[in-house]
Amino acid sequence: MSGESAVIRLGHDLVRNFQMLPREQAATEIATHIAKFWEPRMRHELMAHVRLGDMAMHPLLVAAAEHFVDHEINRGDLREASG
Amino acid sequence: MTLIVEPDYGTPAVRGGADARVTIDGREITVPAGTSVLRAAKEAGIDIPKLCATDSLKAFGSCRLCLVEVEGARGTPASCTTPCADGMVVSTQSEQVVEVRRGVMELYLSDHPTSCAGCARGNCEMQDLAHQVGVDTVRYGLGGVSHLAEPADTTNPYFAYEPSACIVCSRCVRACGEIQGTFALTVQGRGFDSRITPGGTDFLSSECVSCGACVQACPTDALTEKSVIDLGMPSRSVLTTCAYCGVGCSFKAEVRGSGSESRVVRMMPWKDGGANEGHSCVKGRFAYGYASHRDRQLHPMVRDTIGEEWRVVSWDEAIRRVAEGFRSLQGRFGAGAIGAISSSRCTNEEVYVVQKMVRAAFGNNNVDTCARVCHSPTGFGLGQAFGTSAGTQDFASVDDCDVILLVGANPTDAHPVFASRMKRRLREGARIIVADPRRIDLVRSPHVEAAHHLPVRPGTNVAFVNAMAHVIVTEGLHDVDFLRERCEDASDYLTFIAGAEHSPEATADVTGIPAEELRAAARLYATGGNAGIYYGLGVTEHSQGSTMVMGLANLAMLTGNLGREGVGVNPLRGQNNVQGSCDMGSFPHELPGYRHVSREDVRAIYDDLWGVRISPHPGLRIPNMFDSAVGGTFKGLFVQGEDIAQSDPNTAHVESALKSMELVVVQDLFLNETARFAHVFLPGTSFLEKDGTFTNAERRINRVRPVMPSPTGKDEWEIVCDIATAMGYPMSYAQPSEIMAEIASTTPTFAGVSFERLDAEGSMQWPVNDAAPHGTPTMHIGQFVRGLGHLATTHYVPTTEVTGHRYPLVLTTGRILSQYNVGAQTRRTANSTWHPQDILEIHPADAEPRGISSGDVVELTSRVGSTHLTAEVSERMPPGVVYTTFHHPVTGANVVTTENSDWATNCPEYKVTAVQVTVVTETVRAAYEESVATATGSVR
Amino acid sequence: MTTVWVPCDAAALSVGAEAVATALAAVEGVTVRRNGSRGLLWAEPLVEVETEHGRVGYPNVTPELVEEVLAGSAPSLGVVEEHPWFARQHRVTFVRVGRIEPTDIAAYRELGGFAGLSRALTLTPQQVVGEVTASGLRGRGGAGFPTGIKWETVRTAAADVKFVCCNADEGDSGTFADRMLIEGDPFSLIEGMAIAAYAVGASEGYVYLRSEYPHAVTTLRRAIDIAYAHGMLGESVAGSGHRFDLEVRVGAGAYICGEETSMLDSLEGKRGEVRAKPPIPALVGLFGRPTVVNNVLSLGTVPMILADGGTAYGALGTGRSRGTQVVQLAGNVARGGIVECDFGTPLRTVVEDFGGGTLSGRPLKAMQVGGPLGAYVPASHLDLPLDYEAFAEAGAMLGHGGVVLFDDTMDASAMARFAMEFCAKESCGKCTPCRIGSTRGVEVIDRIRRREDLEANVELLGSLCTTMTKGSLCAMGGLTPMPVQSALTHFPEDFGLAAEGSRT
Repeated sequence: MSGESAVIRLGHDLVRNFQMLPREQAATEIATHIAKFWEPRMRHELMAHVRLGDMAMHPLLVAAAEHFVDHEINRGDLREASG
Repeated sequence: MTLIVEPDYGTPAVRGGADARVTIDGREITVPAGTSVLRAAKEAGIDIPKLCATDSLKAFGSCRLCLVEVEGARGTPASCTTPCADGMVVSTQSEQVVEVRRGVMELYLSDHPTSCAGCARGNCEMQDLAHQVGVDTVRYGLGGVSHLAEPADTTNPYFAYEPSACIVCSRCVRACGEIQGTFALTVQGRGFDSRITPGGTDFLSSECVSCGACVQACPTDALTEKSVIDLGMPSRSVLTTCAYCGVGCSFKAEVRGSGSESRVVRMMPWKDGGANEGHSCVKGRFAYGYASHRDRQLHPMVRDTIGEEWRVVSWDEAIRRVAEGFRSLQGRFGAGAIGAISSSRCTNEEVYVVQKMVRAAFGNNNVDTCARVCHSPTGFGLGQAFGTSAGTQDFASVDDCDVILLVGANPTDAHPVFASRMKRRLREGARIIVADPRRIDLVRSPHVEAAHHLPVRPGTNVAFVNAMAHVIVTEGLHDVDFLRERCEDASDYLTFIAGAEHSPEATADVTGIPAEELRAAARLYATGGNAGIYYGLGVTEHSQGSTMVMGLANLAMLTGNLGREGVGVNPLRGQNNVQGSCDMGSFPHELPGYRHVSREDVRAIYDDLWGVRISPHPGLRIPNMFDSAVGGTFKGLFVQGEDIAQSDPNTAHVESALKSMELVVVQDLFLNETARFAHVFLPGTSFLEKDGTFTNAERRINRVRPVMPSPTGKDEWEIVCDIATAMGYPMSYAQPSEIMAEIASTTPTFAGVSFERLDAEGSMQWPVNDAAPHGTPTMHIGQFVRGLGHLATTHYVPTTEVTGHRYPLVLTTGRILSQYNVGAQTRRTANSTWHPQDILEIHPADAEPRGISSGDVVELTSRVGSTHLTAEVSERMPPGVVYTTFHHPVTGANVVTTENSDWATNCPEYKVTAVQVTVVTETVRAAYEESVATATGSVR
Repeated sequence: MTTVWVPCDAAALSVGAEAVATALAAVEGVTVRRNGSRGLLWAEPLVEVETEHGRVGYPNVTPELVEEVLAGSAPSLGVVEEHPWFARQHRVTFVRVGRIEPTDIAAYRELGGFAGLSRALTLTPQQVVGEVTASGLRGRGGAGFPTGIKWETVRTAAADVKFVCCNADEGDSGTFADRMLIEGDPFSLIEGMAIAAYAVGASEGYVYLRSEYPHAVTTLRRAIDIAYAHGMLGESVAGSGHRFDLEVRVGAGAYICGEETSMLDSLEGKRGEVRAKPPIPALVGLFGRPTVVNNVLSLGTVPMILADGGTAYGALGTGRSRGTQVVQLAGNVARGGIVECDFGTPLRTVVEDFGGGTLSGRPLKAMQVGGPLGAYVPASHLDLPLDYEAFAEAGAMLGHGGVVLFDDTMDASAMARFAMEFCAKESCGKCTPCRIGSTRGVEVIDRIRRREDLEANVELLGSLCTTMTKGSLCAMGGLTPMPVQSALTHFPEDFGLAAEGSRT
């Protein structure tokens, strides 16, 4: 197992699946997904990585995390059946 | 309650309106034309003697007991093969008929034991029939040629073949063919020498899959459950539901004795069971012995550290330990430091109380279910596409399929009863496309041949499904009207999928599927008539599991294959109550009925009812729990009936997580692998003791009824309530029906469900509400639950688990017929006769350079671990891909599987692990074989 | 230059025809041609030498007689077609057998072959069926069901594919007409099947031919190949645009596979087992599709019917038995072979005039007519006409037209026992009366033959026969009592009972 932290690994899984979208849209999608499915302490851990300037973080994940801080998540997205 | 004896109408019902009025022995009855005279008579209350006819099989006409006279027709035709026509006048008791019947019965009895053991125990129809027909003496005497001295075949662990009792009615042969579709049995020889045989060998060595259909069909004692021979005939029946796979078969548990003295004699599939219609498989029919296995734990136990021996304690003490321990952890590490995992093996009611305990007593959303590791992408993907996290059809829908697209599923092993139904449809002429790296039985087996086998390389599903959609769209085979009327604007998707990079030619190198074969399959799916998609864990357990589910939904929407019988997108659920456990709010982000925890309106319902404030934030998923445990922020776990240490991927990581926790509570039947890391063990109940409901893969809510009281002194839902209460949140119900009442009152899709209604209806498929009071067999008729269907853009993203120099082969995993998941139950039954250890299938091209021959013990190594198992060189796998099952802890296949998971749901990527395979030394081989022998010996 | 004809029919081969042909071919100036058998099995190997008067026949030729044959000094039958045994017959179905080389398609055409098919293709399918119906042709396999009605059922059935199956599993003892037609004139069967296929809309055909007939298999396969090569089979039969593919499937030695539904099971690759009817094969036959199942002789007669018109064929015969019957004389008979004559001809004509009585010279006691399931007809019934209904009335059946003679040394009880024994061995084993009843029948007859509890056992045998007759699924079990009961009725003394007529 790699030494990569779990939240970074999971975040990068999201990056791989959204990076083909336009950057802003991708960041929103990732942020929305995190808001819907991640337990708050995982989110906090991710933010900690951003704050520490973790060089291993993909820029899109950083953007998503910042996006998440900067913008209010559209509550309407959360009303979808979530699976 | 007494023994339920279902009426046998002799021949199957005929579809159609009643349009033939016939007179039988002076009684008039109107039936659909084509109904047999035998059945019409039975419906009119007239019992015509019969032996070869039974209503689960087509009329055969061999026993010649059901002869009748028809006015204006010649001779004495058999009523089973004579269809009713309007105006027909039938006599079932004319002098001539009675005489011939007696003559036939006398012939039967001249080759039947006078002291028939079956007749004596009431398991043979011959004596009753002789009486009914009026034969008391056999004029031929008993000195003639006979088959009475033929030796019995007792090789099958569950049933015996006693040829002396066999009347060669072929019911067994026909059941094996028509119902099960295995064709293991035949009649050998001609004339008087005609005998039933499992293909000229003994039952155990034969193709027989022990589904039990032949035993059920046998009118005499020739094929009898050994348990009936050992215990005698049962005295009462309890209608209940099988606790193995997601088919959810209905059974009559046939029992002797009452109360705690109850003993299951046999499990008989129930003809009126909505899911199985009277059929069964080797697991549900026979493998129930684990419930009374000596390994079964009946007392609560505790210990301070996992190195200590267990101490049996009272329920009170055990529950106090759990409650105090959890509260203490929360005090020290925060409310989120504990959580629970509910089980898809438990009832809806048992699961519901676990999530309630977590949300109301624990005060967080840290509840997850083992569906996380199997079908969570189904919930996500179908929810995104259609608006609800469930399959679209009932099982009967396959009867109307013209084309079946089977992806990443092996129903003949994992969902055998549904597979039989599918095979029946295939024999009727439907065509099947199999997309699976392995040459599963449905690629080619007796009377089944796939139109196309697409050997998709593990990890490339999305490339494959995109290529299918590409062909459909670029060749103009899509249903433009359906897309316009039923779906959101699909233009983005259509543009995306038409891209040349998705063409079969462009993706062939990635998927391993020849382009022309894929094109032909896509055309067949799009133009072959009603097309139904059926899929399994070969779709979900990937890093793009959710994307693939959406890709399949896209195929169905593109071709308009939704919203009627014979079509749809159908997940084959792995466990009996995967659907139900998900429905019950077992996910950390949603409340019962798939409603997100952030929804204030929904939280308000529960806040008001429960008198708490539910957290609006998602909780931890199972893998997050493990990660957090290793990280030191997650300290206590309640595990309900799931063996995470064996079933979850990357065993070393799971074990280190478990070791990091201060309080692990396991509620199970057995001291499973996870219990090795537990501090409190709470004995659970088997399905034979449960009172509640299971929800199967077709959203069918089936009742589970107790055959006997819990031998532990507590039902599982009671334990959970007791823990919550001891933690300061009082939870109590008088009966499980009250739990269902609470579910119904809070969950719109369950609004019309109650035990009372279920008992009356037999079963119901959700949604059950005012709009659909009897349930909903087919979903999305007219419009989708979410309104318009959503076609997601499904980019193919290769998995990061790639082969290379060190790990050049891809390992994929699956199930085998006789074993079930981690084997906790089936390994404790005679099912291990067929599959005593996990086997690694490897292609000759991979085996030869490694010096591997069938039977060699090999080491299987991935980047996270290594294990041992026995190799079988086989061309079922393509070169470069190896396959094994994960039923046996001796091998513990998940030692090698990795932490990779579905991007959306974290469902583990079980189906793709880069591995190396090597032959082991003689010493290692000996050690492995000894551990297999020990394990086998200890559970048998 | 002399042309001689030596039959290649299996019956001729079995008595040395090949050696004779080899010996003849070794003589310079002799051309040996091979024909089917003329049906004078008592004269085989029957060598015919072409002369200006016609083909002169020499009976029972051996290689030693070759020189004499060529010199014309061997015992001779004269011109074969003028010989009374041959000339008194009315050859319709067998009109070409023995006259031509079996797979000589030009000769076949020259002697009227393909005229029926050519005419059929000018008619609508419905008209073709109409011709067959008008001919009164009834199934020659034994059941005697009107062929036209069967065809009409298949013709009007809707299906993606339909089949024509020829039942050539000629398993009845003492019968050989199917074999001789296939070995002697295979194109007549192929043509008949092509006509049937056109009439009912079938595109595929199978001939189910028993493995005991290896020569017939070879000949028919060769003929089919030739027919394909000449465009009479395949994509466009005789240029009509109608596709018809034909294939030979070889049986595996089970008598029951001569029963049409068992035959269909066997053709499908299954264990040959009788199917319950309904549904009838005409609607649910091979692979569940509408299927014509006809005997070789029925199909082999169809070309004549179409060539000459149904009414011409229907003008022959008597009552509801129209056309000709191909009788096969066998057993203890002086002159065995094929006798084709119009329906209505008395049995006596066949047995005495053609057959010449018993081979042993002893008095005729009985004939078993219609195969192993046929009745034993006593010598006193020789005046019965060849007629389905007359036979039925007499408690017998014509069946496939086999007549096996027995002299006065026959023990009728042994023959009754044999009937049951045959059934016990050859029953498909599906239905109980046939499967168990036949074995019990053997046992009961054994007790009767040992005179054990005679009266009770005779009564039991009667009861068993009723059970089998009325209770069996198919004709096998249903008819097995026929030889048994006819033996008992006509020859009670062989069972230790008072003679016929003296019983109360």
